[in-house]
Amino acid sequence: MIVTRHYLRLQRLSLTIWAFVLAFLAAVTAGSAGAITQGNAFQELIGTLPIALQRVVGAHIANPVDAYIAIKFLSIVPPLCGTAGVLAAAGIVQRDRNKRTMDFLLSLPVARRRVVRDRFTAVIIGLVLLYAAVWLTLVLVLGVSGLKGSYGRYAIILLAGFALNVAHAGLALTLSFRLPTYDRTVRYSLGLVLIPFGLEVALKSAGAVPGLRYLLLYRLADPVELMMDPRGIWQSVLIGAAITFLAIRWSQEKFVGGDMEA
Amino acid sequence: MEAIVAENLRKTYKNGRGIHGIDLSIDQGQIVGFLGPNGAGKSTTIRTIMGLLLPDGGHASVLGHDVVKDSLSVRRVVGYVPGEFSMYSDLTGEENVGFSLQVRGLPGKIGHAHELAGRLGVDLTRRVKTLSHGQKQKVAVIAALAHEPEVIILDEPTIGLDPIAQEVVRALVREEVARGRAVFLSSHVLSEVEELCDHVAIINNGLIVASDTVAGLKKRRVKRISVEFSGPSVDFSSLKGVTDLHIDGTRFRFTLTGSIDPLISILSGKTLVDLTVQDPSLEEVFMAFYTGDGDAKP
Repeated sequence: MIVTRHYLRLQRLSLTIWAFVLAFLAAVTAGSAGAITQGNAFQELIGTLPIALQRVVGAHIANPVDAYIAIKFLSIVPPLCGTAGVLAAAGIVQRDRNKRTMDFLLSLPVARRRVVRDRFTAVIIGLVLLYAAVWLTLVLVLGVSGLKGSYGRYAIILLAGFALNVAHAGLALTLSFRLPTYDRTVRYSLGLVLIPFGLEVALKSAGAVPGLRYLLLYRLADPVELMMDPRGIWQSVLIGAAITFLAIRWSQEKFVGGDMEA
Repeated sequence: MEAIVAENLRKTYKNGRGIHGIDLSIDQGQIVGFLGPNGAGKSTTIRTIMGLLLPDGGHASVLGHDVVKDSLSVRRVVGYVPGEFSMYSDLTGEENVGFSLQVRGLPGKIGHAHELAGRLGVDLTRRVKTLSHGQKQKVAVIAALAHEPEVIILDEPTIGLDPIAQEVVRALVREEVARGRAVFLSSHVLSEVEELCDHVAIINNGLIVASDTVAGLKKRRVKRISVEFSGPSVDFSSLKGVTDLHIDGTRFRFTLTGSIDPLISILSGKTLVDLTVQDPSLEEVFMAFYTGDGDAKP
């Protein structure tokens, strides 16, 4: 846990900022849910959309508060937390290379495999904290506003987003061993999170076949689908765990097998 | 017991540079200076011993622990100051040193770190990024010594330090050696090596070109010669091993690398006013290994 704690300490400022931003967005969304879903204004707005799009945006969700939270906010949590996650994961090794702290780190009696494993654990803990901040804020603000949300479903949707983001972080870690610099790793990692999200929105709006959307991974954390059928969480968790496991194993081998120029 | 051993240690980079068969031996209680110009292979040697680079061939061990197969044990017993400052600048000095101690399972040694900080005059509660270059270097020295390692590897430890702090670091090194620790000291400050070290290894182009005691190196090969003639003089520039030749009327001063016999032969039959043969400074010995024609090689 020493290496994990140390990496969390290095990330504390960015983690705090991300937590505040996400909690703020959650609070604003939950705070405005009452006014927007009162009466039939929200349903009428959705009703103006084409039928295919209505299903996509969750017109069939019975509780308008849930529909609003899912569409307006829960769908954007994975790309936001994913951005935070890949930034932290990209730096697991590249940050030390970039800041020239590698000699200090590797002169300590800590195995390279452990550095990768424990620092990735810190990234996972960071993501847990961010998602917990989102969920708690939603529960708190909706509760204070006197609105009834499906908090269990929100937790499941956020868990799916978390699994997706852990996989994103794993892929960013592998990228960090393929790319020569921290800056380039960060750019490619952000692309890994944001470009598929843009494509997912476009494909979803166009009613594309689900199989194609699996390739973009965001299908795993679709809030509308999970709101209707939370059993899909298992495939999200399993696929996310598999990608993460393979990414960490591969990265550990790369780190152990090579020189690490500071 | 031998603290550090390297046998035919090799590490070649893509550009062909690196180390091409380093042999070293440092005993416990011994302090060995490691000299060489930039790019000679000093840092590559040290980083290979530290397990930061994987050697292409040969073998190295620290207190019997193989640097490749048992790298963790090596790093456990070594205190290391890297050539380039390498600490987390967003953390305080105490957090950096504390991390090093916690990883080693020795968090209780933080008191010793504070004691060292007191002697060096550095505030460990400040974030590293707010410290001057010299202060940062002091933190690096504290991190290397706080866990009281058996073997200490210092790559340019006094660089950027003010003279008082330099002297404190030298005193700390002497104390560690007195306690039986082995110290491997890479430095560009030849006077520092001359003052501190029992033994010196000189590296050039990835090979050890000389390894001896400081006194032995000075006596063995290189002499400062001063000759004054009363009559006809001699053309010393044609004499093998002569460098740094200065002529002042009938007085000739130069550094002679290699055997002194040819000089004696050339001077026989000449009338001399004065002849002095001096041991050179370590700097002159060092330079002779880079400017000479190879005679200086052992």
